[in-house]
Amino acid sequence: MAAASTSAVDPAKKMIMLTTSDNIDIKVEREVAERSILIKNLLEDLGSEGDEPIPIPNVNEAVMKKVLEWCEQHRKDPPATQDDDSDSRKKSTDIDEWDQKFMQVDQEMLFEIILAANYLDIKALLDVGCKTVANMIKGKSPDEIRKTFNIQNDFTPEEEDQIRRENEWAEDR
Amino acid sequence: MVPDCRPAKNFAEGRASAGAWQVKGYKNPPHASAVICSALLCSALLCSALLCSALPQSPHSMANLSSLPAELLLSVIEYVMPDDLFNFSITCRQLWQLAEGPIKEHKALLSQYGAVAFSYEPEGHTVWNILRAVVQNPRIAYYVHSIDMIESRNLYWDPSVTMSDEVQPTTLRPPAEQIELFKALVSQSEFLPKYSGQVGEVGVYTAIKNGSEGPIVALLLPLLLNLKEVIYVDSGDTEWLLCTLEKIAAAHATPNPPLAFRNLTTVSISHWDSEMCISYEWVRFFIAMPSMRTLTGHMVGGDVENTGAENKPTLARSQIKSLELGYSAVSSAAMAEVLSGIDALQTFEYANGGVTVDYADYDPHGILAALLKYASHSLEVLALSDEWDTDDDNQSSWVSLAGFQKLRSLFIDWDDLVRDTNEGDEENSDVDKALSQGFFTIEDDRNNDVRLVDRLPSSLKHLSLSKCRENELDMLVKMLEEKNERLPKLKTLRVRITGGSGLGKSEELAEAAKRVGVKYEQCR
Repeated sequence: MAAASTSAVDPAKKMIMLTTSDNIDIKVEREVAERSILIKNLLEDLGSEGDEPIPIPNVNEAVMKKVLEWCEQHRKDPPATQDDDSDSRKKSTDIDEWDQKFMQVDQEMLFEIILAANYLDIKALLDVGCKTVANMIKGKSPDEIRKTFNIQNDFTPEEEDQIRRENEWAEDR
Repeated sequence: MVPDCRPAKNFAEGRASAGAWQVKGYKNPPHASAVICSALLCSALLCSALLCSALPQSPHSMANLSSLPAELLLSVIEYVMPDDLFNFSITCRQLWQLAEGPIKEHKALLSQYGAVAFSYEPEGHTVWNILRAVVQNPRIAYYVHSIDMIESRNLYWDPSVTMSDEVQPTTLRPPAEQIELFKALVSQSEFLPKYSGQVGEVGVYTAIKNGSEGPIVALLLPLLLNLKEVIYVDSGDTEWLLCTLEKIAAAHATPNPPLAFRNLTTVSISHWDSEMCISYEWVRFFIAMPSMRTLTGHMVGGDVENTGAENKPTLARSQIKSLELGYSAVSSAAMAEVLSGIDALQTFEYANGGVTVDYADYDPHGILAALLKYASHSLEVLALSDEWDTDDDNQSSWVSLAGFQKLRSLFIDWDDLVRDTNEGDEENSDVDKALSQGFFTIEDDRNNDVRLVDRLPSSLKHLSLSKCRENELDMLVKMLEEKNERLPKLKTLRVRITGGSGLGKSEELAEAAKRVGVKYEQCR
């Protein structure tokens, strides 16, 4: 995609328009937007010059802007292979510094970003999101985790005890 | 558009059928095609608005963990650290069901890697295998809680080769693709030295290529972030790990401490052969890891080298509680160096192994002086013994143990408690007094004047004395007579008598103990 000339017709630099779920139009460089495999495929399917706005009905303006901020930062990253095997998922929970700062948002925004990254098919962003959640769990007891994420415990105390007993050695504490 | 209902909430759609944890996939939503009918969007919003009011948990339908579809929850689960997986999964039914597979895998990895004992069989766990597994699946690194590096572990290199640049053509070597993998790791490592000084100037790549275990161990251990326990026998090419440990121990003293060895609590080191020793430097470096609590060593030795002492990096302060060195030969200066790094040592045990271990003189009073200087506020258990019956010149002046504030249990050789071999002299080593130690001479009578209560701390509960001379047991009788005033907490007195002359003193001592309620045991 990287064209040698910086002429005005460089397709990577061409601006396209996205319409968010709350009907806001956002202008963005094609190369940035194409971090999203969904948008990339749509642009290819439409085959047009990308003049028409592309509706993104599942993402609102606030979330879309945040996602595009990430795409801008990572615009030059090598493209993710379409369907990585389990190997790539077995990475550690290390997150690079910029991404860590980027993910310092409230929980609602964090999960909105995860949902949007999944919908827009941005694997690397989805990974960062999941890692961030995993990091929020680190070192917490079940009760603390429930509190953190507002999870309702639907086990009876007896059931919970039984699971604990059956898995004692897996707890490794 | 409907202004108060948050848009894009057709995420919540799936909840209707699946309860709090929706199972329906979010990927490829029904309207992923480019043409979206706004009417459809509208109805979806309406629908979600209705749903919201029906859900008791989150009335305003904020995105939260529960709003993730099952496949995304699974993605999260896959990133949850091994130690957290169980706690996360047990928070509710749905997660427990979703995590079934990962928990299974978790158990499998834990049983395979939780406690790694290196094997002498090529197909068993070797450092090469483990390092490769960790590089290929970094999650494995979090599973390894203990490492047992037995002496007979499989070393690729020929054991008859002592230096990693002297390999024989027949020496076993790791396969080429592993070598490439490990070389790549070397360039990323902040701690592994590029050259080993011990074996001349051998480059790390040469060592790896030659099949040396040294650099591989030094690469592997810092990667095991959950490592709690290490059993290490110093077989093979040890300098790489030693240098790496020193750098990490120093890095833990900086404002940005590394992740390596943060969870290490227990270390056991020993020397591979029946002669000579593993250097006391290993003790210094290991105990500086922040979670270290217990170190045991066997055949540890060495003296402080005068050269380059000022170049030694500052290590992190040690939080170790218990230090036990058996059959060792650490000089008192080296011991002082170890002890000076420890904040509050509670248990110290040391048994002298003599010259089979190292040429450092056994200097019990020097060790006691260092303990008094660095651990008098915290030491509770102290055991000093001489398995070698060394005749070394004691170099240090006698010190009183009364300075220990919390000492509960004391195990010590009789002479180390009552004899002052340097009486009248400043520290010196040129005056030969060895003869007077080993034999009964006129001098021994003078020792009968020693008031033991002056030499023992009032906190003492258990006193165990070895190599007591029967003709000197009067001192113990006198000590017991003053027990109530001077040693009010004393509960047990254990005496091992040598050189008995049948004077019946032991019976007298038993009587004296009984009178003041001290449990008395005696053995020969």
